[in-house]
Amino acid sequence: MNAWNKSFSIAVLTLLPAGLALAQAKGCIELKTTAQTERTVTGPDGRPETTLVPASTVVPGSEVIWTVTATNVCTKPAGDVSIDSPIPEHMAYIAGSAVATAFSVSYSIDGKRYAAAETLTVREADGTDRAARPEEFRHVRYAMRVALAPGESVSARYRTRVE
Amino acid sequence: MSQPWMTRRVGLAALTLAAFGAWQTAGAVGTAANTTVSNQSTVSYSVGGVAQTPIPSSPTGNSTPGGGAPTTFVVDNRIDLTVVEVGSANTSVTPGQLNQVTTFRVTNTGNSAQGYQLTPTNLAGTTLFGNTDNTDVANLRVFVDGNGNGTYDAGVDTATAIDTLAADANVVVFIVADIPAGATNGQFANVQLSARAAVAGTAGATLATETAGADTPGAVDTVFGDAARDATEAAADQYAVSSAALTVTKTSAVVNDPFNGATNPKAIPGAHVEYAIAILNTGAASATGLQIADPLPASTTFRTGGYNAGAADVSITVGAGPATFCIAEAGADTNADGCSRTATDLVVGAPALATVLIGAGNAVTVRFQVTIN
Repeated sequence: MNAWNKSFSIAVLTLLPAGLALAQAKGCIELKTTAQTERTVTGPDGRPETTLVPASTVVPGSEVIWTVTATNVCTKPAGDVSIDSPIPEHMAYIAGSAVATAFSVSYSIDGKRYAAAETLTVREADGTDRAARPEEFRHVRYAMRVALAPGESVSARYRTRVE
Repeated sequence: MSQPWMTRRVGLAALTLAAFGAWQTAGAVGTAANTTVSNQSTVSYSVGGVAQTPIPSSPTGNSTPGGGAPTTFVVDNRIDLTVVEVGSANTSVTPGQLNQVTTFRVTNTGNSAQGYQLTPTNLAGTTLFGNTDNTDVANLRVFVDGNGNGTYDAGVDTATAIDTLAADANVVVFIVADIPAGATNGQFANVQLSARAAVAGTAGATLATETAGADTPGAVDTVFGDAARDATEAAADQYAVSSAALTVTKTSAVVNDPFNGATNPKAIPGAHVEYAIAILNTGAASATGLQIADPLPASTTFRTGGYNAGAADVSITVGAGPATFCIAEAGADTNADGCSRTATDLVVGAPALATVLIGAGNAVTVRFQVTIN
């Protein structure tokens, strides 16, 4: 990754005068983020059922469900797929809402150091470390353990509450 | 059910979830209405073992590095409020008092500034502070504590509605009422302050309305977040009518006659007769400014020196306390002890009779003597 970062930086510097040629080239993954809320409606059988609708009537205390969908739009498998989703300002991550079995989920407070929820710590003013509270999480990262096949999609989802 | 997940799209076809509650009532005021919440995820990956340029997300899907757009929504306006009674006690009033005050606090627990329409009402039959309402107060008015000192100031606190109250802010509101002269000791009048959210800046005139129908994406919709979903909250307070209720009893007894002395004295000329005026307050309030004016009986002469070994003319006792004395001069009260007499009347007042003397249930007895002509 380091090597790539370096070459990417150089490439950007080189191409800047020529405009956004590099930025406009399509990549191999299409990434989509949606914000939704739950709404209870009466189903066809007359019983209430809860569906997801685009984020609506979102007020303090509302839960918003973020869904990130990655689709491989190339003809080759994509490896090392890692989706980083920042938890927006004014939102608090709801504990346990991003648990997944087939994928590694890690969290970060500063966007640099990622760890499992139970091992993430916060340094207090007096220098001591304490366990981070879920509402302090500012990033959720999903790391795919397998390659994303061409044409295939994966979705990651977590919940936040409006502060 | 709160097990979000990462899964293949195949498994995502049905997004039907168990009920979770449309929202939870947050205690804090929270994020201000009209705040834009923005989120943009980024994916990094490799192809053939070669790392590719990370791709940011968009609401509809983006595959261009450097492209994409944040996914956003706007926080809507949650109207919520609390109204509480201040002081946790009733207001003690006496019959006929004007402009008596009960105090409330209105707090904006929503996430945007609101105004409030205020309505005071007499309650009927409700129980508050352990007392059941059984009368009403008159001339109900409501005023906002304009100068913020927590005390009703007539002529200063004049607004009758809350024009604008910021999110998380609160203001004191007074109900001001007159107590009917016919109210009696031990009656209770419960009153209620109702506050209804209004559009900020309209002096409570334009009531807030909930956005009907579907949500308007990207616009601020209004949601009533209070318990009854009517943007209205209320609290009750109480006026307790407290009045002095005096009973006056006057008794007389012959204490001495020229022939029998103090033993079985008879009411014959020259006999001494003691009058005892007993005053009992069976009300809940102290009586103040008490003064006794007693016409001296015809065919008698006021007897001086009847008490305190000949040094005083009038004896005063309060409850079970020791007797105190005063001198009832003829004419002016030259020694200013509160006791004097005219040709026809005995007057007993302050300081011999304390101005705030009678607490509830305490009896005062004033004694004096006359000689039968």
